[in-house]
Amino acid sequence: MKKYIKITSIFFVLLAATQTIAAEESLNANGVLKKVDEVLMAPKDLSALMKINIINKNGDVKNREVQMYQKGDNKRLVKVLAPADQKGIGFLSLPDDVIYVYLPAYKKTRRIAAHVKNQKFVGTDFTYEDLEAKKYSEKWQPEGLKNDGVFYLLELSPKPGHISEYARVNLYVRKDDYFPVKSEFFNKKGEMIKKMEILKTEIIKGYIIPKNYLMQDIRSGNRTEMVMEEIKVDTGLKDDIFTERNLAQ
Amino acid sequence: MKRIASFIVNKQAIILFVITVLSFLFAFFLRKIVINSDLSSYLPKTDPAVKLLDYIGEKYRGNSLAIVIIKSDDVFKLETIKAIDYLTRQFRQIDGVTYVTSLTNILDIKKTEEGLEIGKLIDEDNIPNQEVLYKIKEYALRKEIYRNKLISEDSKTTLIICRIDGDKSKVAKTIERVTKNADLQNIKTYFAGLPFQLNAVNDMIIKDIKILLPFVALVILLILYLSFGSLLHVVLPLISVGLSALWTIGLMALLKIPLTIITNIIPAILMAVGSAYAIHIICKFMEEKDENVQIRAKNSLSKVIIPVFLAALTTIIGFTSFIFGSYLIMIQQFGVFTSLGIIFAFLLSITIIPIILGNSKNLKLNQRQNLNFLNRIMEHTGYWILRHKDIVWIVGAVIGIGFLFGTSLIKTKVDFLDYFKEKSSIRITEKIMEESFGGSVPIQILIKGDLQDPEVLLAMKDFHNFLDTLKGVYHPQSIIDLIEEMNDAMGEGKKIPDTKEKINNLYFLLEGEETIEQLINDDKTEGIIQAMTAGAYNEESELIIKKIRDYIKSKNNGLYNFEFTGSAVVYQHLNQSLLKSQLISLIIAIVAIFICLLFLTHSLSASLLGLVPIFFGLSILFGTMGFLKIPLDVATVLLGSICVGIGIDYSIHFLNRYSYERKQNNPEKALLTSIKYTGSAIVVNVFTVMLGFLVLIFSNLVPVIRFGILLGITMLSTGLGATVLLPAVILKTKENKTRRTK
Repeated sequence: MKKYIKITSIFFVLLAATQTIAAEESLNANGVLKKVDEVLMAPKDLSALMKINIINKNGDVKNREVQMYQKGDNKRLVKVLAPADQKGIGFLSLPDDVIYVYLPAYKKTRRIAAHVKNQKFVGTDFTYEDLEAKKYSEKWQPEGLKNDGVFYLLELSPKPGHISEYARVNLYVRKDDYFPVKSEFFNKKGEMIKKMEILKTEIIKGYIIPKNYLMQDIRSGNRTEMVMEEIKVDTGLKDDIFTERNLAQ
Repeated sequence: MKRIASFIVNKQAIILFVITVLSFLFAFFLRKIVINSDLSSYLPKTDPAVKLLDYIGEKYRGNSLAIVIIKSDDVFKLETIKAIDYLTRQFRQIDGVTYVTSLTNILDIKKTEEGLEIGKLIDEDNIPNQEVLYKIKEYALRKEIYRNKLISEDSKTTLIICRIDGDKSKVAKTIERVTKNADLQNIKTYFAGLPFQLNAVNDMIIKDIKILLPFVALVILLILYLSFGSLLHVVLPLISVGLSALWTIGLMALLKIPLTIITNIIPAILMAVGSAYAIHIICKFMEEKDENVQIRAKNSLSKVIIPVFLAALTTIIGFTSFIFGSYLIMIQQFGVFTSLGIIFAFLLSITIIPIILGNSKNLKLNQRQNLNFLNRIMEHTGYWILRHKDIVWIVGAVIGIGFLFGTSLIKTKVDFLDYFKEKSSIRITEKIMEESFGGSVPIQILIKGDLQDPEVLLAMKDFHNFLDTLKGVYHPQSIIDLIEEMNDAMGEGKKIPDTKEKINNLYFLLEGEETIEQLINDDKTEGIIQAMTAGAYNEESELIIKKIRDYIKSKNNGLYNFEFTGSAVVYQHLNQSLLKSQLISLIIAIVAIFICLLFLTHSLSASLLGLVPIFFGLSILFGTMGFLKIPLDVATVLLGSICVGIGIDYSIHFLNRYSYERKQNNPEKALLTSIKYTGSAIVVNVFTVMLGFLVLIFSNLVPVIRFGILLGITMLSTGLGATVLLPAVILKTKENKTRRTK
């Protein structure tokens, strides 16, 4: 009998301990995620020349070059510069998932509904969701935190109400500056479907700006490399850049 | 021969050891046997239709469709849409499913007031409420892209179409399992398309083997027991035949040769044909008088080994004709492994049986009462034939020639649906598909050319229009549909854009869309037009193929090039090669056997006589097929050569006995004795094989049932040819000879 009491009491002590550890961890995890959001706190505006290589599993490469302007976390204008046969095509994303496209061959702007977030962005392995400049803590809640000495590993799951094509995201965060350098995306079956790495960052006006991206689609074997050049931040981009009229120029 | 017999009896320990080891080895591999019922894999890989189908499968991630039909009182009811969404998500995660198209994830290009909406018809991440769904229903039923392609006009039926790459059978099984495990209320599901049909055939093949084979054995045993009234006669043939079947199928498994709808018949054939060799040896053993069983076994074997060898040899020649005569891999395999099986049966009969007999103690001499009774019947028959020889050969000739007319009515048809009985779920499902959606079997047209060039797209458009005019072809689909929709949304009408730049702009918008990868390649130099046809293959399909071929011929130029394939084309090639292989196999078999006979008899007239039962059997077989509208298909195509292979055994036995008896008697007496003794043996053999094969009537597969019936007819007619017609013809020719010499 005594033995039983002993065992159960040990069990309860252990249970309590793990509970506290878990609570502490998630507290920590929330803390780390907040820090990440602060670090990523996007500059007021940003413009850059993006050089994109889309590489399929056979190693065929398609090159793209686009000029991007971004203001806040919900206005973005993208103009295609290369290849030549697509030059002049432009996208304008405005708040509330409003996206306009300009097709130079038709000389017309049309609104496209991209309410489907898992659509690919200009044929890359990035979806619109991947490119959203929103705070992590708005959409994701941390399930756990691991610490391997170099990185914090945050395990995130979608917050109730947030619809995502991913069931889980593992975020690898640099410990020294809280910058998330690697994300792994998992589907509902727990399989990793995509992996994004930020291979290079640059500090511009105090912001940590990602410079080289690598996105790998595990299932299709395709990958996309994206390099940001001529990055300018907080130049006071005007709102009328983000208009249909400007898109069509 | 004595030396061989002595060797076998003296070295029995080693021989038994080797046989046991081999049997265990083959039994071990037997577990690994694979089954393949995919018709397209029966054609050689180099066949142009197969090549193109493989190419499309590889480049466009799958060339076959597994279709789940969803039926409810309205598919746009929220609960149904939710179920479709659930299944769509589940299917997408199955390995080997490359794309899923359903109501909840199909790409929709909408012209809106403010522009163009490239999105989903129903947003799967945000399923709308019932009211909105009914609005979507009205919209969807108005659009050609959905009506009768994805939703039936009454909106009671919709499809979830899975494109499959890889192990079709495994993927289809998973789809079925996932669907059956889903908690679907007020919804009926059906499974259509080739992958499911293949699985159904596979399951039936396994069932056939498990259930029918023991039955075939049982029937044969029963008849043997009735004929000879001794258990030994029954058990020994079973051992040798059973082992030869095990070795053959085990060897196939070892060599990774799959069982097909054809090779699955091999064990049954071995049962029927191989048992005769054992019986010869046992009968001879019974006739021997020596007290010492070892010596008796040696003597009987040394006397009987030659005729048994000849019987096996001629049958093997019959079956080897498949190896050289067929373009179809599985029929070649059938030829190779049936021949091997007969070699095994022969070797096992001449080893195991004498060894066991040589070790048997005090065997009661068999009374053979039943056989005596049969001998008496045959004797009476013999008298009757001698008295009415003219009637016999005239009636025989009339029947033979009459049935020849039937052969001209034979149709060739390789219709996969034909494998299933009318009331099977597969047939019912196919009916639903044909009524609402035109069919479940895709045909594919590959176009090579610059798909950014308006002229090339216009040629594709023309092809669409042409396909629409063909009876039996439904819903051509290609990149054209999307390009036209988008051009319309850009305000320029539902047509192909007039410049390369515009087409390029539209492609840009579609880039990265999953749907696109199924329609065009990455650098836009080739694309696919897919249309649906019914699952059946018939004259209509022939006509469709011919018309499409002619169209392609008239259109191809330097700017673009069309190629055409699909299951229907594969079927057609299968059909043509079936006819060809049947003819070639038959000719090879008959020529080879005729040469054999020449060697054995050294007489041209005797060799020609030996072919009488074969020709009589063939005429009745093919005539019956013509009159009863039984098509020449993958299973029945084998019958001609089997008829030749088995029929020649009878001829050899009969003529052998006759020439032996002729040495002592006049022709009449010699014929009578031959009919009495050899005729009885033939009758036993005919009924053993015939009734054994009639068990196949209980198969679930229609071609197998037909095969069983027709083989019964073949046995009966060759048996009659050898025991009734042949004696009458022999007498007739003798008469003519004597008249000429006078």
